Amino acid sequence: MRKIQLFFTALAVFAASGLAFAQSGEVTGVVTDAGTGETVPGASVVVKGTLTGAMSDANGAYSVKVSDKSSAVLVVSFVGYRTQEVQVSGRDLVDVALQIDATVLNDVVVVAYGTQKKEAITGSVSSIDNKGLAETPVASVDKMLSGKLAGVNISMTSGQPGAVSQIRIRGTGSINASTSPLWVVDGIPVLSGNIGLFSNSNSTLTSLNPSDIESITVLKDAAAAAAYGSRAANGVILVTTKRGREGQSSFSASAKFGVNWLQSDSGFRMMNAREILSYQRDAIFNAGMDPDDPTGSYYRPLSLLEGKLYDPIKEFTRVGNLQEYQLSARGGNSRSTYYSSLSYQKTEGIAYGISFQKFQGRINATYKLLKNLETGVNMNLSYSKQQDVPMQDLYYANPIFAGETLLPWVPLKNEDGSWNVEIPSNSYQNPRVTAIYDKQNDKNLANNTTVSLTWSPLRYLTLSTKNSAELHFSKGIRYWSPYSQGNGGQDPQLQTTRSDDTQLTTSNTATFNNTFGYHSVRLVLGQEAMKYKYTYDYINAPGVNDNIRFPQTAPQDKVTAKGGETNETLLSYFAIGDYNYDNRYFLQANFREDGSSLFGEDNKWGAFWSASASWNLSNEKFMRNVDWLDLAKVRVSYGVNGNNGIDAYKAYGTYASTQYNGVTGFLPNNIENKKLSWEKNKTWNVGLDFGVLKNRISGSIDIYNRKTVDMLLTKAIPQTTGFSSIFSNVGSMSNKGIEVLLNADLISNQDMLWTVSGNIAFNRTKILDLGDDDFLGTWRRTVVGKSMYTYYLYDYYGVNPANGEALYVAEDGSLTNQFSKARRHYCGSPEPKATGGFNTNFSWKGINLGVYFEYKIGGKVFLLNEHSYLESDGAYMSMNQLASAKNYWKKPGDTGVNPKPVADNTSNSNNFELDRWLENASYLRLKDVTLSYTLPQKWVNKVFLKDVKVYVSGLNLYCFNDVDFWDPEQGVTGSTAGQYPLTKSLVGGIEITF
Amino acid sequence: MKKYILLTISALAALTFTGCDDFLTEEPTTSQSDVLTLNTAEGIADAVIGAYSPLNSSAWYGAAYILNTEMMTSDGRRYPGTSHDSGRYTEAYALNWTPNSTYAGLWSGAYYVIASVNSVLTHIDAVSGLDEATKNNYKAECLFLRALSYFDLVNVYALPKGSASTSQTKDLGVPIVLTPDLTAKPARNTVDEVYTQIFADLDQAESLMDPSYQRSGTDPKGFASIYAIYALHSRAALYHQDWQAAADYATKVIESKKFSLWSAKELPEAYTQDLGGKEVIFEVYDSRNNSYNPYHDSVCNLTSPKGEYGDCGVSSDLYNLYEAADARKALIGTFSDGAYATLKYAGKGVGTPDANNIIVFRLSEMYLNRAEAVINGASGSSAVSDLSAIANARGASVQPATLSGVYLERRKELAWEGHLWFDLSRTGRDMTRTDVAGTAIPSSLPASSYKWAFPIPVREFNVNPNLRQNDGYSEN
Repeated sequence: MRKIQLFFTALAVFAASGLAFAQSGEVTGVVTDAGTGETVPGASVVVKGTLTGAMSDANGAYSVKVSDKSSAVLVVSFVGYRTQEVQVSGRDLVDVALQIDATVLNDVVVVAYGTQKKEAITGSVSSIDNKGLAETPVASVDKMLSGKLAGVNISMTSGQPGAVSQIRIRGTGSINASTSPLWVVDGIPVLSGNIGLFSNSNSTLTSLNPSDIESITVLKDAAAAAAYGSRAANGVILVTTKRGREGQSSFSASAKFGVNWLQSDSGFRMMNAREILSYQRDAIFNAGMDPDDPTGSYYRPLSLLEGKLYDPIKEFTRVGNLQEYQLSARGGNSRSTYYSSLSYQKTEGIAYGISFQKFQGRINATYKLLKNLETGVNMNLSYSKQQDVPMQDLYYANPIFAGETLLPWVPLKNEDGSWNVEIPSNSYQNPRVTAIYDKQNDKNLANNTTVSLTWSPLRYLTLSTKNSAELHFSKGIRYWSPYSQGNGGQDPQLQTTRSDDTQLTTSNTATFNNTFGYHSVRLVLGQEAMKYKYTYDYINAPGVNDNIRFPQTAPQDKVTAKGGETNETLLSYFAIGDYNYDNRYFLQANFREDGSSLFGEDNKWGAFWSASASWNLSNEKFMRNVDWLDLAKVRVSYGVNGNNGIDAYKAYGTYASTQYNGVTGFLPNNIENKKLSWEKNKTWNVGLDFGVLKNRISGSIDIYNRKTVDMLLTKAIPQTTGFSSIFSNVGSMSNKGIEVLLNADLISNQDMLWTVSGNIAFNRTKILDLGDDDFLGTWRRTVVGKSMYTYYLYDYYGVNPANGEALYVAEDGSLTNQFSKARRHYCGSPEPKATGGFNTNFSWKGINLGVYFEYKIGGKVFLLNEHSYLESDGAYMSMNQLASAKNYWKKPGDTGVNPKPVADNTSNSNNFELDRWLENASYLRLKDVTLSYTLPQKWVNKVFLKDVKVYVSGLNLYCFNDVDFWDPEQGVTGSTAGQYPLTKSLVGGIEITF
Repeated sequence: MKKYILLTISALAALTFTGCDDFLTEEPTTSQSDVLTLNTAEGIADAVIGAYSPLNSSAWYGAAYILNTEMMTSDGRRYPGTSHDSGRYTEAYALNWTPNSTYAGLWSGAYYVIASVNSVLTHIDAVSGLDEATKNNYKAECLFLRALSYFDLVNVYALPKGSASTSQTKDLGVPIVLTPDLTAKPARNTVDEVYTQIFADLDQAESLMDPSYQRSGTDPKGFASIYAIYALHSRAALYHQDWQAAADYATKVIESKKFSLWSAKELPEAYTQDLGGKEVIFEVYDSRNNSYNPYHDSVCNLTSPKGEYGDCGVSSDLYNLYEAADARKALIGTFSDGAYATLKYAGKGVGTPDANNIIVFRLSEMYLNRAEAVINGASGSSAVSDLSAIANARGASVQPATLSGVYLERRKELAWEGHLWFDLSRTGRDMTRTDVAGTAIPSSLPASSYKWAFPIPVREFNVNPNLRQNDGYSEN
């Protein structure tokens, strides 16, 4: 393609120079790549407003005649770069540095089983390259995607380094089967999700180094993803890692350092000592008791304020830090290429006792055995250690929850300054003591190796085989020390576990590629097989010796052991066909047949397919004269994808072993379903891509309807059957939405580039059918006709202005002070109305500033777990309360406030299931600000370096929101408990290439 | 060239297609198919043992059955704001149940056991490799477990025959399910029908079980025996006011001479023995090695002064009932702050109490059952001598042979073993208590209240339209 364009450009230039009005001076110069500094051969240099032009030679040099050097403007362009206009301004020598253009349509994009020119894509695809990814202080690649791709929604239930994030592409498409996309790295589907054993959350994807990534493509609709068949229903994320390049070798070294800290931007905080004392004294008075009576249930004299006071949150958290070092090398010659990297990363979290460390290395190499036979190996190795303290639930040892609940006058330290564990109100635990003595960690060794062989026996035929082994060896240790528990201590207890995950994949394709006349055809035939095995062992040893922490030192009659194994297989055959007529009409069809061990014996095989077409209007003859329009392409697609994301053996009726009275027996644990089969997604997509004003403004719009049918559902059944639920294919749901993406180059010239871009996605999830049921669940329901996770809560009205009691709305709409008469009502869901992001990037002479915002509009969070304790109206007298709870009823006539606190409040005004805990989750987050400076070449060349870049980057620096909590991010269900909140980070770093 | 390529591809395809059914078959590894379990001798044997397992769950005898019922009576006392207050069992103590917060674990647990034994009973006759005697003993065990499950269900979620409740749903019991059916949405049977089923199961169990049959386990009394069947029959008959049967089955246990009363000297150690003591007829053998061991939420951790939580304390109402010389007074200890605690679940080991057997039937109850039955008109024994037997063994003065006398002795003897709530309910008496934690806690429950039956868990109404909630509670 590039050759053809070169030819045409040359022809045009030749023709043009023949007609030129040969006069006046000559301008010369060199065209280079602004990013790498390498010369660009074959670039077109045309004098604006004339037909005069030239083409840069093999060294990037050009020479062009102009009529008037003072006023002439050169238009410099080359495929894959932004077209640039340069004022000659009387100079003889004009060097031009071209900026890579990530948005132009001629880019090649990685797609299912190959690459495609952006122009030829018929489905809905989003992609980003690695620019800016390396600077972001994150442990895994999924964290970098939030808000960057239209329709790709990233939620987090934990801000802990290394934690898993929840990724939803075009909404939540399943109730009980997987809702996460398939990750494919360099053509091989990989494991994703939580691999944590005892750690709070440990993402499999941390083994992948973000700096190794060349590009990420997200396949959103059926047409794009159908080639992955039974696993494509929730979209596919294709990650391509860096490969070697022919040419001079380059080495780079980088280091970054930073800090992370806890901060709420909504004004959320706990009461200080004075506030909570006054609150509790009121509560005690309101209960008819005397806070100054030393013999009363609650003795809360004002003199408590004169004793030593603590700020528990401050005592239990810290400013964390992170450091990261990397080395990489890249190069190659005509026969072989290589890319290799080595990295070390360490993050210490905001809570004492939390850290994440990782060593990681990668080699991607290719070697041409023969002219048409190439072999390659991609190998990634990583070793990580996650040290934790108990979080993600309301544990007494959870530093955040304990920090919220402990009363300021509770002595956290002993007289001698050591940490005090004798805290009755916190079950004799102190998170700082836990962090010192207890252990809770995971170690994970991961190896992902793919060996490939590619043979092109004929010009139009390529046969390729990729064989891959992905291995994760994990070991978890949890140790409860005798010293971390007061009140006489506890027996030390050791728990250890080891697990292996092994996934073997073979992927074999034959690709026919040919062009005849105006017709281009691509046909891929393929076969894939996957075998996955998981095993684990677990030992629980209560009463081990504190000095010799191994199971054999525990009383052997108390030691228990468990183990398990899970196997899963998948076998697939597929075909992909592309047809292109004159770069104007594009057709694509996919077909895939998958067999899976997960399903019932009657329904193991499923067929998936898609068909799509696009029409590039801008390449039509009649559009040639429309100057302002550079691109107008219409796409339409339809297809059926599958979802097999369920646990193994769900189709079998089984008994599981159970221990009682020294004997092993069996109890029923699963109901047989021979008909159990795939969940299917049927998706329509209509899209438009456009570019105007020489592509300075470009974008796309997609409209889709994704319908999930034969939904795999855990259907509740009466417990009188002995079971609570049965798993079967019933029900359907839909996700409909619109996605808009816009890019604009505000300024684009030789010295300066200023771009803005933004995306917005609207998605509506709607449950269509649940079989016999109208809804599932109790207080967070899946309801026919409504969104997933619709809240069905007791209707809290507010406070009775007359007496300060809580009021509820009863079934008949009247108000009642009786919680037992309160009605339930549907009151929203966590699903946002719109999600997206926008960013601006400004670069000028080596300085680059990127500012990135992410937002969610609409949707609710339900803060039941903490708030029912922390806004308890007196029910939890041993716990501190939210600062916002100060606003309570004090005198008749007060409205819009909390009920009056009453010690030992049993009115249920703090019941978990009150709509009182719902808050609007909308936010605008300053996700990422990065300022970098690339030192001028002439400086760095003197010290024999190629490139030096320094930067500072801030992650999540501020979040505009009104949620009365640490952060509005509460995961897809809108609720968390004892969460490690999202934190703020600031890093600085340097990258040197030589 | 082309020909070779095509050949290679078709050869590859042929290779990959071969054995693809085998490749796609992955059998469960850590569980066993129901076909194999229910159609083999070994499988059936394992399934019978398995059915005992959930009895140890924290939702049943492992904790909640004892603690929910005791905390609703004057035996229980919470001590809010103390070091042994973790907020557990507040609903029970406040008599504050809703269909959402109700004691739901017994419903699922008991029906799980019922479903497990129903599967065995449905398949056992067709299984080869089991002799008739073994089959009969297995069937008897299953029938005992089914009767026990229905007995607990009907008393927790429904009202007994003698209840003075004015509830509109007083006659409604629980649904009876006797065969495996995953699509069934049964309505509630009446209390009478449920008791009829319980007695039918016990009669059949009695006729099938070899009187000498005893399954071997760590604690033989952790499994059913003919005496456990008699004991349950005695109690069920007492609850259903079949006085003569209550007395007769108590007599069968007493006169077997297999059990004898603990002496006053033995009593303090009796409850924390590892293996069922001489008075024990049937108990749930608790151990950390049991799959259903309740761990932190065990009855020991909730009641013992050495326990992790200690939310479920003892009221001075109960403590003051005992005379100074009564050996049973020593079964009430104190927490570090002086609050009363029962020592009946103080743990079998030392240090943190990690497990304690839960006695379901013991001999002294048989004397008390018989005494009460006789006072109500049954023949064949003397209430005075039965009440004397208990009082003498404990070092207490003998109660008069009146209803109030037997009620008082029963309360003192069986305190904290999950009896008082049901005894009040079935005899139509008010619950009153003087030692209560704060004014927000009800100090009484009139016998006429609807609250003597727990609400049926709300999730059942969501999936079974044929069910009716107990009067006084909403269905959602």
